[in-house]
Amino acid sequence: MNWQTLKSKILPKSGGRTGAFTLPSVVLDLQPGFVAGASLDRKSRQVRRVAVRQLEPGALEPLAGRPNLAKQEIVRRAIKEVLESVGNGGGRLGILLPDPTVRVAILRFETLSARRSEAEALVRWKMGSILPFPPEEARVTFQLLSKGEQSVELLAMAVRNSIIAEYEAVLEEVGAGPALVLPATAALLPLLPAGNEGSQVLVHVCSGSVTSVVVVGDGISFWRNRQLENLTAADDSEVVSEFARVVAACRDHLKSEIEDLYIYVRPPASSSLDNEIGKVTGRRVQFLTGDASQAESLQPPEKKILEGFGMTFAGLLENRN
Amino acid sequence: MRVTLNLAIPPSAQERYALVWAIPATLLGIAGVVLILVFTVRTYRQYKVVARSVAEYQDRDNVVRAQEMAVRRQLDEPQTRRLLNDVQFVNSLIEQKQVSLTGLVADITDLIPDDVRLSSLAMAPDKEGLAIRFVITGKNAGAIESFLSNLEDSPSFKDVAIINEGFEVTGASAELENIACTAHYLVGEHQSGGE
Repeated sequence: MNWQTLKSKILPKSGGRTGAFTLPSVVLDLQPGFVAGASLDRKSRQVRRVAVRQLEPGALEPLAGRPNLAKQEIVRRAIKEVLESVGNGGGRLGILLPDPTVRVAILRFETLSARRSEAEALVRWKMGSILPFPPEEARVTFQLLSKGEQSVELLAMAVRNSIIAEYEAVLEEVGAGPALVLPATAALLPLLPAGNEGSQVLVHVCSGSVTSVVVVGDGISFWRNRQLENLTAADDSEVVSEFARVVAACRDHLKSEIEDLYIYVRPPASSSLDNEIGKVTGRRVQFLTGDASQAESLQPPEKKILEGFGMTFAGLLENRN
Repeated sequence: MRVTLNLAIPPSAQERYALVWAIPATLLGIAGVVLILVFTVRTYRQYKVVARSVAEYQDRDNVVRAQEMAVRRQLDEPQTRRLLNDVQFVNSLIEQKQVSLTGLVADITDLIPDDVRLSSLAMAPDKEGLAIRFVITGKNAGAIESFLSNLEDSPSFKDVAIINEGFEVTGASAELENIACTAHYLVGEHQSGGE
């Protein structure tokens, strides 16, 4: 171990090097229409408590390049109420951010340095083209998807430091900085059935935005997030159209036929949405669910909250390392 | 699909163990402060003792100086100065004194036979020492010669010279012979000192 390595382990990281996945005991899911929170039992892989509070429209506006928390006090109050219900765990929390706040890309390289800092610099530079802010202001993390002789494929995510700082600021009263920060859809990925060699599509509809992820085998081959302008509880047509576009794109560009369709809608969707999507795509659509054992210790009202708002927490529990 | 991503920055070792390090560091700091305080108090006490001692010595010095000044003033008074002069004069006399009259008389007494008596004795310093003038009266010439012989043999005298000789007739027709002579008294050669 040389001096630079030792120094980087001991001293605080000035450049903002992200760490590996870790599961805190309390996780908050901050979305434009609501704040959900859960306390998790990491040993038994169960959700101990779960709670949700509505946010008034405009309190949280998920943007990648500009401040998100228009009404910090309202968000802070909602977080406080949620944490009063689930407990704050006495340590560092996990935060799930709205998908539009985080830019996600599938990056392909011929080679990639084994040194984390050099690889991160390359990823940052490559993501610069899709970021609405200077890449040096981004906090970057990436995950190796596949590595061949001629190519390396990564799933990379970037979020503006100032936006993370905004979220950290509203959590100042309840504890130290977050131990886990992810876009909400990333927390749902572990809920997709493992060992499936075919293509799976996950569509996460949450408070006016749709995130579509195509998973092939154990890797992600497509990630797209769209803000929907005219989405209402009564009119799901935009969601259906987006679903159809994703299936078409998958067929045309990825040369892959979709086998399984999963959808998770927050707040909970109308019962006909799966039928409408099924009609357009010609396939059966399944609502995303978690392992029932994870909710064993919850009361029925909390189970309903978990199903309607907290599948992200179930996904994190499922994400065994 | 398993996710290994995380956009959070993990805490450094410094941040993770800050609280753990803070406790011993605080204890060490408190111990250090206590040590410094103890050392400071001890040093301050020593300083006070030394300062008090210095003050005492200064007071004593002032008293002694005052006494010295008083003595000097007293010495400067006319009465005391006169006494000092007298003492100095007496001391100078004592220092100048070289001949013990008692010793001289004892030496001469040893030289005088039974039938001779010393009529007069005078002494005066000269450049060779102390010149003694004797006047001896004897019943006969033999007694006088015996005295002169003793005088010449005496280690205490030298340069014996007869300066006068005569006879004296008494009432019973007896004659007494007188003789005056001089000699140098050897001071210090056989005397232990002339006080």
